[in-house]
Amino acid sequence: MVDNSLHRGVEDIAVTETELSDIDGESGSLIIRGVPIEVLANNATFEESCYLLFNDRLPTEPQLARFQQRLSEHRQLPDRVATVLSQAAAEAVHPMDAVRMGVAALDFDDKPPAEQAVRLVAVVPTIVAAYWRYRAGEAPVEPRAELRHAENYLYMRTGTEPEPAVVDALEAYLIAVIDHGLNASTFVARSIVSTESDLVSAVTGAVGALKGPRHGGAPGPVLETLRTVATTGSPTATVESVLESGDRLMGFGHRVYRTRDPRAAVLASVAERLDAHTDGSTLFETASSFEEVAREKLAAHHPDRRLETNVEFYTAVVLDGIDIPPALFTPTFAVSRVVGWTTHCLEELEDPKLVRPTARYTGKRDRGWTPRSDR
Amino acid sequence: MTPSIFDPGLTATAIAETSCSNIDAENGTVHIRGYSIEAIAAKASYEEATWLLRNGRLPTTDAVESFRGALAKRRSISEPVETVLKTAAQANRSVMEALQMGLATATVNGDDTLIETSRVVSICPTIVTTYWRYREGVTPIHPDASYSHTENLWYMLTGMEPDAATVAGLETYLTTIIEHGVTPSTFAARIVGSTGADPFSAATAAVGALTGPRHGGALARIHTLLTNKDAVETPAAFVEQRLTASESIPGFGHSVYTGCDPRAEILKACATTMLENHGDRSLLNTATALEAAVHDQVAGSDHPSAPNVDFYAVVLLDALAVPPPLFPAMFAIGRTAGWMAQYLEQLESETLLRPRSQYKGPEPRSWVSRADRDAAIAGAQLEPDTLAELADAFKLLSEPSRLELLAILDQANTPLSYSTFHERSSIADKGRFNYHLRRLRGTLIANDGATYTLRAPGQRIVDRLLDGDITSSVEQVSDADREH
Repeated sequence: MVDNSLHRGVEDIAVTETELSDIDGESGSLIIRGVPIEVLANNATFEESCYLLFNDRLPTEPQLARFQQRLSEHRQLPDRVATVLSQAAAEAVHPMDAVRMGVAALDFDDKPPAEQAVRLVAVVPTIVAAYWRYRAGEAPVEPRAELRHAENYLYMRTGTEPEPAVVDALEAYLIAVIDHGLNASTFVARSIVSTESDLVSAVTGAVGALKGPRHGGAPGPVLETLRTVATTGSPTATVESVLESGDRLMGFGHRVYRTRDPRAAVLASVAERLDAHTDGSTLFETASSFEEVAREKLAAHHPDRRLETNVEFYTAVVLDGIDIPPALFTPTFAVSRVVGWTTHCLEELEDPKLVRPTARYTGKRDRGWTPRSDR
Repeated sequence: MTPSIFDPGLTATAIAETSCSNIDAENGTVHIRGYSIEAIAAKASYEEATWLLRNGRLPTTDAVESFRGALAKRRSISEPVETVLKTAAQANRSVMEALQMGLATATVNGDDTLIETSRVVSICPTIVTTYWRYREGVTPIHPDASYSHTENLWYMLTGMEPDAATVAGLETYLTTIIEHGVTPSTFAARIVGSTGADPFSAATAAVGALTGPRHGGALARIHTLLTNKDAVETPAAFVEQRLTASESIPGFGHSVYTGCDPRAEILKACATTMLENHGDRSLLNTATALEAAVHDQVAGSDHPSAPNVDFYAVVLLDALAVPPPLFPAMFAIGRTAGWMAQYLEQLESETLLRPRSQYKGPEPRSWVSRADRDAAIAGAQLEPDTLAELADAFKLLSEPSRLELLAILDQANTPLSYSTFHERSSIADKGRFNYHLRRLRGTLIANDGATYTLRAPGQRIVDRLLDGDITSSVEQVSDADREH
């Protein structure tokens, strides 16, 4: 029998061709359908970015209007999903568990895949916002058709219309993390549809993977560090104590990038604008001085490895700056990444290739059965 | 790091080291933790096999008794899970969808991952039977901790005291399929486990992969085959006709085995024993006749010669009087222990599964403001090859009936059966309808079994047409022409 070569983590293997995103870890660039991420985040709306991923081109005005219309038709939460979320809130489950339940309870997997994709993108923000309101003992807020996608997400959680600067900041974040190659959650989504399963199953699986602490996209710990630094006023002391204890410095280093994560640059300028808008009430100043100290200390501590700011670092500053509670950081990531997940599924479905690797057997061989009494 | 290897489907890659199961594809053997699958099927209870998978050795009597108790006390489901199952039953969702929803709605009770993996194994039978009883309009039955895993499954399904022969047959099925390397569903569980996520998330993803027609559908196709009038009455002629037409026969061949699937033999023997003295042997008779006919006739064709595990699973589950819609769920119930064992292996390896992809999309392009986008399309470079392709595409579309077919599918927003599709079209003549459908099938329209949907390119064309861009630009052109 042929023994396949062992690649734990499969990080040196390309398992598919894709037209969606191109990551260059050496030069630190991320291209979405031919558009550099910084260009997309600075110019596009979330809906436009979503349209670009789905259709491989930027929409004209009438196309965009029709697409926004389709999203708004499917934002509403079906009753049975609302019931599940309210019961889950009574048990105070983890918000990502609630998202998994909410998505799994959706009932449109008989629709064509492209339709499922649009509906999933439309409804995930509603699931997150409704669950959070149930958790707080409040009734969900209905989405409003005239509000944009990012605006609706904030509005459905708070019940008040957000300021344009806040919407812009959220929108830039949602665009920055919209797709990123075959991370574990996207990979599981693609693997699930490679069996020609539906997109609801795929996104349910992806939400489960995103929940895992090793996945990334969870900037909660960064926020805790920054809050400590803001209180003590001494970034150096914090960095040194983390490095001495041998722990990872949260917000630095990425599996793929050997440079500063290009999304960090996008989010740093978003954070800076937001900070200026709020008269310096965000953690931006703390974060940028911390980044400077940390880069210096990390370079001295790991001379052989370049550890630079990753996407989580300024995500914490931006999401905290627009008052998203830390418990909703990962669900907010899902609000964006559901676009990448579903587009990858549609790409996979054009020519499904069943993922069927092997594992190398290293256990015992050919044992005889021992009756229970002799054990 | 630039990926050094391109391996679509990862078929040439080992993604981990495992000590769960060893499959020898050429010789057709499976060993679980070193014990042959035949020994496990004949001798182990489901609890024993699960304990073995987890611990790498056979349990003592004390160990198996205490494990049985540990599983038995974790069978109950929470209120939200009960609610989604009831709703799923009312909405006529399939059992696999219900199982997926049930698992997605269950959550961990504590921090002990090992215990939580047991809970996943324990609640799957409760989820499936609760859904099924709602579906049948009868009250769900609470699990009974005095029963073993398999006895309790039977009890919750039927409400009857489990008899020894039925439990033995069902247990043979569950242990035979308990674990089988890195299948797509198991791999999904591993990917989720590689992020450090909880066992319910992993099991949900695994069921999601099983929901696809490639697997769950196989059992249904085999059942249809074994009750097909021609297959029942004239199996040899039936097989000959299928092979001549180069059509595959469901239940034959396996993606791993080049020859026999050893599990098919086990299940065949088990079904034969069960039906020896009583019961309806018709499925078994048809299955053995088809197996013999395929065996005799495949020489010279590339059709696989040996039946796979699903082929005799259908015969056995039918002999056990399991309702056919539940067949895929019985598979999932059996496989849960394998999913959880490999989930734990991946989790403990602390290795994230994060492969790469090869980018084949457009090179970096510059931003075009919204107002300029139509102009940008007009000014784009069209190469001679592209022009020829475009002309072909327009030729295909240059027929109102075909545009109508695309529009019907877009409007329907749901897969249409052939007859509904035909009814909704204005093409009364079946031959003409078929002709246009054939031209569009595969490229713009997908035909999945008995239903039709728009493929992504078809959807894009309809979107484009509905935007009105094309007709309005053609109108502009004709106006301009008139002025000249």
